[in-house]
Amino acid sequence: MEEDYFSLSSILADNHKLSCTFLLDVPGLGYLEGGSDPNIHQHGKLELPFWLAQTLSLNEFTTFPLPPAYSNRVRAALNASAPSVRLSNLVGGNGWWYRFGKRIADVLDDRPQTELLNMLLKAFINRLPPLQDLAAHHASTDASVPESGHGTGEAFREGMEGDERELFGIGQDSGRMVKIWYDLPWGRRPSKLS
Amino acid sequence: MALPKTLQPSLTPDELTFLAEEEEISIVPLFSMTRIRLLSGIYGSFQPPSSSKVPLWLAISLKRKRKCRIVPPIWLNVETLQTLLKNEKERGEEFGRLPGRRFVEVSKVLLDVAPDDLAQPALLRSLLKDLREVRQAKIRLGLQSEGVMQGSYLQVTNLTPIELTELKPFLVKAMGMMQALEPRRDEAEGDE
Amino acid sequence: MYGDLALQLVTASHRSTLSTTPQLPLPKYALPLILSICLETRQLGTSIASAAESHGQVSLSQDRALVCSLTVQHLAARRNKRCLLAYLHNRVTGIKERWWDAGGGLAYLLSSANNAAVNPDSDAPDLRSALSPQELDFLRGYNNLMLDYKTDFLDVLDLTAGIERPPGEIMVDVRVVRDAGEVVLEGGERVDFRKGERFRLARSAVERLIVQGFLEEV
Repeated sequence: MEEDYFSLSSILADNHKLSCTFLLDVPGLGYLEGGSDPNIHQHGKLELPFWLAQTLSLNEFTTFPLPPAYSNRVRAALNASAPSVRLSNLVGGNGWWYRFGKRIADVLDDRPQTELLNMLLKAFINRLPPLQDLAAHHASTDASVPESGHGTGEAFREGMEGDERELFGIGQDSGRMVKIWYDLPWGRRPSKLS
Repeated sequence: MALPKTLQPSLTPDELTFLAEEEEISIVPLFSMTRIRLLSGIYGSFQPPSSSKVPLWLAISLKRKRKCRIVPPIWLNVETLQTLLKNEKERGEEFGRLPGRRFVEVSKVLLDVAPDDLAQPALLRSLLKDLREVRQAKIRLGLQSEGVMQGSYLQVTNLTPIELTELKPFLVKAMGMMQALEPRRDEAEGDE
Repeated sequence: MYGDLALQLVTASHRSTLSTTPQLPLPKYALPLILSICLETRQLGTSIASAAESHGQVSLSQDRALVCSLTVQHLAARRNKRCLLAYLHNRVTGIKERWWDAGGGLAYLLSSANNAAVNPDSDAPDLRSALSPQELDFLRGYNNLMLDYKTDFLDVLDLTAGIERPPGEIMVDVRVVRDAGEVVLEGGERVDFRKGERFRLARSAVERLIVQGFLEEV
């Protein structure tokens, strides 16, 4: 989960939106809202991407509440059954729930920061076993044809967020690599894949 | 990166097998020859029906040309494998010690290339498969262990290189994420 | 909204770097999009500079609304810059990878034959037309640099030799899948590779032709 300057995943994760409240009037900034008002007014609320929200909040031009994706409701759902929560819904398709959460945590005060990080960590840990099982299962069958959701396996797979999907792919690839090695008689090459 | 994508995550099973082919094994040559000096060592002389020790790669090459019979390693038989399997099942979370680091690769290669020199190859294959599955299940359990949950370590004593190669890429990313999400414990350590 | 164009660039780039086998072809250099982003960034720069000039030092340190407004523009410019650089960086990495995958065969890499081998079905651009002039220069420069370095010790080690599979048997059976014409092999022999014919040759001699899709192992 690097925050490398050149990392495309990092850049995309930084684009997740936060609902921000302005603490002052800012004439001329109305274009952020995309409406007809050329100015921003104190207490005005709008959605800003994290790469804007972070600095504006650190400089106390705006504040933002914890987004719904990390609310108490989500926390309760995760505590009940972490693998059942569809993280992919919480931050939009192709979202990065953990990365976004971590970025937010970095700008919070100590206690809310620790609480948020704990929520993220616990969720990840509890979702890891089914993820690994699923990756191992898909490594050994031909998973190029998507199954219609039956059982928690496929539902979980659809609920994975960005980093989990990458992790899944990695597990599947290494499992497949070893399986191919096991199945092929030594010395024979696999048929040309086009 | 200059390294091809398929080689980046870890050593591939093919590469590990290549390394395993350095192990010495006994053959009974079907030809006569005096001692020969190869880059890797001096082997022979080859006088049937006496056996000689050669590197596995040479044994395979000769076997394929029908120039030798391969003498199975002492552990490659039904009784030993059954004992290993039983041990593995009884050991709980720990991994059993296998005969040699290259156990998996050598047994596979021999079953593929020289099944006629082994007793009950089909049963051997089946036992090896069972053994693999028991260990895989333990790995999955291990991923839920305390050490991993803290993002600090996974106990892999007695895992063979092939098993590690399968596990490593997944584990590295998973533990990387856990470490990134670790709440800051030391408050004095600010990085602003 | 500032940064939207840049986001398009990054999203498209991210989609094309998801690793697949075989590697997806490099998409065409998004020149129009890049020019637009650069324009937007320059405009932001001008706007910031003129605002700073017209308001003077006192305002800049005390007028919070002004600072906020300028901060937004500054962040947007920095965001654009990051997206552009990440885009270019990822493409350059992809170009280098493709060079190594082709075993350093620059001519083959840029030819249309390579494109047919890599993605026979789509009409994606072949590599040469997908690159910007600067990227093409880079590729040539990188190629020359590597060849220069490689020849220093070519007698001992071939840096661009394929390493995907560890060496096995010395000889290999191949079948010709595409006409390659008459080829002079390492040892000096001439072989006429016509489609459908089979040969048993030293792997090291024909490895390149296998990689390039003219021959197929049997």
